[in-house]
Amino acid sequence: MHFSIPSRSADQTTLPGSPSFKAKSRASSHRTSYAPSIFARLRSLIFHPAPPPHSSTAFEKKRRPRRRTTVSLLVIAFVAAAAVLLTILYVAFANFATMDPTGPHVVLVLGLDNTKYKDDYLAKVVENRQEYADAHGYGLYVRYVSDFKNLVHDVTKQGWQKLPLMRSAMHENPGSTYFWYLDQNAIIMNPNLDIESHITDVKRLNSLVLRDVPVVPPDSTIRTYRHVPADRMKFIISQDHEGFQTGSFILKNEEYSRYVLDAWFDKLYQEYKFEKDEKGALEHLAQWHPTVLSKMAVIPQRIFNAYPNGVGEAMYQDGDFVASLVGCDTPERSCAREFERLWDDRGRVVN
Amino acid sequence: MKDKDDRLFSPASRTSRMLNRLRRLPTRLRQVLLRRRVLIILLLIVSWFLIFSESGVPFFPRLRWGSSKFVIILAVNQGGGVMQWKGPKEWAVERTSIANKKAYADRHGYHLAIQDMSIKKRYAHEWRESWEKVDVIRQTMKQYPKAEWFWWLDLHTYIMEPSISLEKQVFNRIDNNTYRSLADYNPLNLPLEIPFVDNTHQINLIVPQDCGGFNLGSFLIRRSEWTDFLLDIWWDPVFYEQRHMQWEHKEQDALEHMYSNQAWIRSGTAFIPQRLINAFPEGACAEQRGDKRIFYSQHDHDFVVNMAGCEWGRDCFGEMEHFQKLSASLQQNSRWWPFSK
Repeated sequence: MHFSIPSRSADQTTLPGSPSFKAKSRASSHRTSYAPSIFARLRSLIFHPAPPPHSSTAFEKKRRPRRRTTVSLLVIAFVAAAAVLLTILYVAFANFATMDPTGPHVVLVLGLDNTKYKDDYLAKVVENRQEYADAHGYGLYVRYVSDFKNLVHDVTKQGWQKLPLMRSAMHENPGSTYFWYLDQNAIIMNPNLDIESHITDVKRLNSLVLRDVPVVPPDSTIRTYRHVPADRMKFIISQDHEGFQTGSFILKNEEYSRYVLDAWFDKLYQEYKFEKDEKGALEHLAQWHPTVLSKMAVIPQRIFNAYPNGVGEAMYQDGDFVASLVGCDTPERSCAREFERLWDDRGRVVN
Repeated sequence: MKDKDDRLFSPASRTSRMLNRLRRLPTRLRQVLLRRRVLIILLLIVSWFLIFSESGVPFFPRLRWGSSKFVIILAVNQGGGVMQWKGPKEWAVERTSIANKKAYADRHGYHLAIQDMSIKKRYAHEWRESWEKVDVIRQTMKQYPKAEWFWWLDLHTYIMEPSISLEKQVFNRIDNNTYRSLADYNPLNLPLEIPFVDNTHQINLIVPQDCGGFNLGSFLIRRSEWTDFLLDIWWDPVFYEQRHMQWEHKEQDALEHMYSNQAWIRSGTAFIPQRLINAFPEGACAEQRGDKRIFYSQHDHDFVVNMAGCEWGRDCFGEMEHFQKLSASLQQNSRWWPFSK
């Protein structure tokens, strides 16, 4: 050990072993014996590490494992293996039990009005939907809208009937995820597009969502949200120049959708005589209730609701997914004829 | 480390002295424990009860385990003296009610949110001067982000049996204590069945029914997505415009309307027999005298009494005093017969 005589006052005596930077202590100057301090001990440990404990020199007889040890080890191993196996089985079965085996991933919902339209036209519409559903393994839920006329407040307002229809579809298909309502007077022109990649896939939806657009064009105060991520959106709908177009919309099978459909269909909204019927009610809901608007995704109309006689962005072009014959139930037009024209031009499924 | 040197030499530095003391601590501890055995055992017993007993140890402050999952929302200052003067009797009633809820909350470790319901008179008549309960519940849910169940209590209520916890009264056997079907008791004659109701849905709202319909004087609501939707849709300008003249009880009537028309509301709502959390005194629901489902019975040790409507034609102060005295005497009697229930 090496020590240095400190160049300090004389009352601090430096003894061998004590560090020169030690705190002054009066007692130390009166010490008669050598007391190694903590620091000294530490230093000695660092510079002269302790000798290794004695063990390797002595010959250690390897202890033969006794039978009891073997048996207990085997028992432990068996129990552990059994526990692991049982856990795997339990998890597998638990998942299996909660997995709803029934139900296609997407269900198309179609409401037929057999009071105003001829059966052969309706049959063509069903065939169009069936073609599409078969091509992609989707479900098809078809009902006559007259089934729901007791629930609707005013039967002449056709638009309201789609709400209990959708609710019924969701109620009867608990295993399905997406429900796409498409009006009867519309035709799927390009059946090669599937719903997931064309609309509902999160990345795709994120690119389609129109953010910060007025809920009621052209300039309502309430606008769609800017920062809600697409994976939280559960209600996909489009707008035309007038407002929300409920001829084609997608709902996810969750609490939110049941809430929206039930609240939207409330008797007081039906009785209120909104100008645009259920479209007006939806606009009202979206503007007054953020829990509704926050999960709505407004996407461009041409994605799934293009108009063949539309203008500008709404206009149907070749290759578009759906052509919607909205407004064809007026006397000047004929839904069946327009449908027929488009039927021949429709795209076929490419296998 | 045990160093032989320590015994021979007195350590010089303060650090080594302290270390020595620490080293000797286990020995000291052992000596103390052995010498004061009885005291130590007594302390252990008391701390056991402090920690694990539900009702706490007398004369000791209650230990709380952190945030409770129950919040009692007490609506006080109804009207705030704006429409009617608040005299000494009103103040006394308020004091009694608050003290009663505070004692109950302290005893069981629940949070108590005392919310002011004074009329703000910010708006003209045809606007939203109503449905305040909804706003208050939303606000309280924000204030207590970890709590799960919120128990709304009107001012004119009194907890008669403070020894009963909410878990014991309602939640431990929630499926037995609540009912979903209106088949047995339907004072409003609401439609028994509407399409698309899911009876396996989680219960998020527990509401008692009195002789005239739902009673929101004492009810329970759970934090959930369903509740967020309910609190949002509960007030709507179209509903308000069409019905506020008919809906005397504001949010109560709105809820009744939504319950009859919207299936998702039915899925999440359950009813609880009135006497479990909302028993009435003789004066309320006077037409239904003798109806065993409605009125408070001291013999059965009903939990809470709600002096509903006492401010119209009855004496709130008198009723509150009566129930306060009754509760005190019931507690005293039960102390000698703790298992008599």
